[in-house]
This record gives sequence, structure tokens and C-alpha cells, in this order.
Amino acid sequence: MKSKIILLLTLFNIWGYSLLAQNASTNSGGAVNQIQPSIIVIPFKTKGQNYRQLLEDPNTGFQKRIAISRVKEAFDSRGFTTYDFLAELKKSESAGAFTASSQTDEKDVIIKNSGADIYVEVDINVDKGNSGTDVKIILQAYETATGRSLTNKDNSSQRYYTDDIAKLAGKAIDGMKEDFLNVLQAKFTDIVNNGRSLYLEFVLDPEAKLNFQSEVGTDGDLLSEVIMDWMAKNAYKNYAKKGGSTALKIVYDDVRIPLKDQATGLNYEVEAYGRLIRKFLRGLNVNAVIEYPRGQIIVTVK
Amino acid sequence: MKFIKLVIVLMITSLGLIQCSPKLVPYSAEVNFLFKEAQGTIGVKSIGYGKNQAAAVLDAQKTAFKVIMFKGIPGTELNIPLIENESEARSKNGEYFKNFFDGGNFKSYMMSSNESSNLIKIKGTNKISVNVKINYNSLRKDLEQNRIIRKFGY
Repeated sequence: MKSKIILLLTLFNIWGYSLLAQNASTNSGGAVNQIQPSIIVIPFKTKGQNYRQLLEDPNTGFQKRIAISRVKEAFDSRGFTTYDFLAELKKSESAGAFTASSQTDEKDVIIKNSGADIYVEVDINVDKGNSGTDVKIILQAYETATGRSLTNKDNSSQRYYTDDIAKLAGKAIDGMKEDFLNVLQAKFTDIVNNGRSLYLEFVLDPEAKLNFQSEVGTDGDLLSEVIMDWMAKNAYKNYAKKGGSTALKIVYDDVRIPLKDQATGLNYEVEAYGRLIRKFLRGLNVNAVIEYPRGQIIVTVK
Repeated sequence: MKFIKLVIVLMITSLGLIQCSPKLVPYSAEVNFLFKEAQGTIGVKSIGYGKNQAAAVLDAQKTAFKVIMFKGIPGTELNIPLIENESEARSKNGEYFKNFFDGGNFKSYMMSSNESSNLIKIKGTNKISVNVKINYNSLRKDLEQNRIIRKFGY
């Protein structure tokens, strides 16, 4: 009887492992490629302006298109492919994302729909005068999830007696693109060394039976205190920057998670960190639903 | 007597270990931006020192590469050096840098090199100024391929 149970348990274990094992047709022999950040280059616009009108404007549209194209080209020169802004604009338009009743800004919709981790905003200003034409370009890179500015650079083409704006825009961008990409790469190095940044929010379900000031466990600690201790211990390199805390909500503006699982070397997903949080809360007999908007974790305590 | 012998052996061993550890030999940073002709290239004026003209020119060429790779040149596209951490990169990739500088691999990325001054005698050595044009785009690619630096991205 005993040997039958052992045999049964062994078979059950083998079956369980085979479910999680890597398929032979996708097995890379242990080589893990790091998932790269996705980047989109967008034109600068003020609130309420329309991208389509901005890019198709007979006077200034071409300048903006050429500026975007030049910045995309700079990324390409480093072997990095960015998302195409016009393709993303068309995608959002055909999905009816910009309805008249919608209060959401076009920029937010496109960035959200594209799924880009980083967006680079390109602003162009053309100044025509008696002493020639000067084109100024500003490049600004932001992290989509946190809205944190990664780098910004500006440059001028200097004044020339020409109406070839494309040439001048190219000159202004060429003069700063290497530096811009190098600073961006330095930020990526920081992410590799210190972890990816996440926005994390603990909120209460409207029908939750407890709040963040309720005692949990046996030590008399409040839920907010237990969460604070856990976050301090379990964020990558113990970096969890708290934004604010009330009885109804706890916000972490910047929590770092590793790019790679420190135990297995595999790519570390946001969901893996969410799973840790869910299991930690379950250990306190607290049920939670976890959602993952781009670069964020929203924990709703039930 | 035995104790003294043991101390001497230990001292020699530790001295040997110190000699083996990778060291950063300070080098001159007398490299100044000259021109930029095409994208991915840079022209610099570099000062070299040596016992004769050939040695001084070689030193100037190597210094130009060292500054671009490890220090950067303010006010240029290479404001940030190609390699972020010199000591770490050198200790991890000793063979690469030995071949690069001592083996002369750096010459594959040198588009031109012209002496811009005569050999000047100074205290115990000679000094020369050399204009060096470097293809830093392909140098960066080589550093990426040899995993000295990461490709653009994570």
C-alpha cells in the first residue's frame, strides 16, 4: 500500500513538472534574451490640439513629420526600432478612441494603446528673420508608467539663409542625438543596476470589511504597517518610495523590481511581483484582486 | 630563523599578488575636439610622449582612444564616454584591451593620423601633437559585439 502511494506521488510530481517544463520546440538551452523597452516618438502638442491636424497642416506639418522621422532614424542607427507614431495614430482613430464625448487627451490614448514603456516628445520651432532661418528642436523622454522625465535636450540649427526646414531640423537633431541617446542609455544602465520602476497602489473595495488602519495578524500591527514592512523588505534593493497613506489608500510612487529573476535568471514580469503581494496578503487572511495597467500594480483589498 | 623565513616568503607572495592585480596606469587627457565631418566620426588633437617620434605618435593615438572610451570629451557628441566604468571593464576584459591597445587593434578604428607639430624635447622625453580621426560608430559596435558595453536598451 505504502509503495503504491509513493509511486502515485512520484507520477503526480512528474506530471506537475511536465506542465511547467519548457517545450522542446521553444527551448533555447538556457539562453535568456532581455525584454527591451518599447519606445514611441511623438510630436509635441498643447492640450486640445489635434495630432492629425498638427501633422497635416500645410505650413508646419512637414516640419513636424521630418523631426519625428529624424529622431526615429537616430534610434535606428543604434539598432533599436521604435513604434511608428502615424501607425499608432491610425490604429487609435480606427478603433474610435477619439470620440467627441471622450474626455481623454489624444496623447494619453496613443501612448496607452501603443503599449510603449517610454515616449519621446519632439518639439520644433522655426524662426524666420532678416538674418536667416533658425530651427530649434527640443527632445524629451519620459517613462510612461511613472511620467518620470528620463532626459531632455535641445539644440539649434543656427541661422542660415535657406527655407529648407527639413535640412535645418536634421542639422539641429544631428547635433544632439548622440548625446540624447547616450544619456538615455545611462538611464537604462541605472534600470539594469537598480531595477525597473513601478507605480503601486493599494486601494479598498467599496465593500471591504477592513481598512488600512485595521489590525491584522497577532502582533497588533496595522495593515498599513505590515504592508510598509513587507514592501521595504521585498522591493528590489529595498527601494520602495511611499507617496502617501490614508485609511483608504496607500500609494507607492516608485517601487523597484528587478529586470531578471534573481534566482532563475529569467525575465521578471510585473505579474510575478503582483503574485508575491497577493500571497503575502493571503497569509494575513486578506483577500485582494490585483490589476496590471501598463507599468503599474493596483491592489484592491476585498 | 624559521619564523623569519616564513615572514619573507609571505612578504614575497603578497608582493607578487599585488603585482598581479589589475592596475589603472594614469594617462594624459590632453585630447581636444577638432572637427566632426560625418556622423559617427570625430577628429581630435591628441598629445603624445615618447623616447622618439614613433613612440610619441603611438602614445598620442592611444591616448585619443583612451579618452574617447573612458573619459568622454565635453561639448561633443561623446560627452559621455563609450565605456562607463573603466576599472570594471578593464578587469573583466583584460584580454580585449591588451589586444586593443598593445596589439594595435585600435588602428582599425583610426581613419587618419597626422602629426600637427614637430617633436619637442622636454624633460627626459619628447612630446608631439597628432590629429587623429576616429570612427567611433564602428568602435561602439565592436564594443557591443564583444560585450564590453551593452547594446542600446536594457
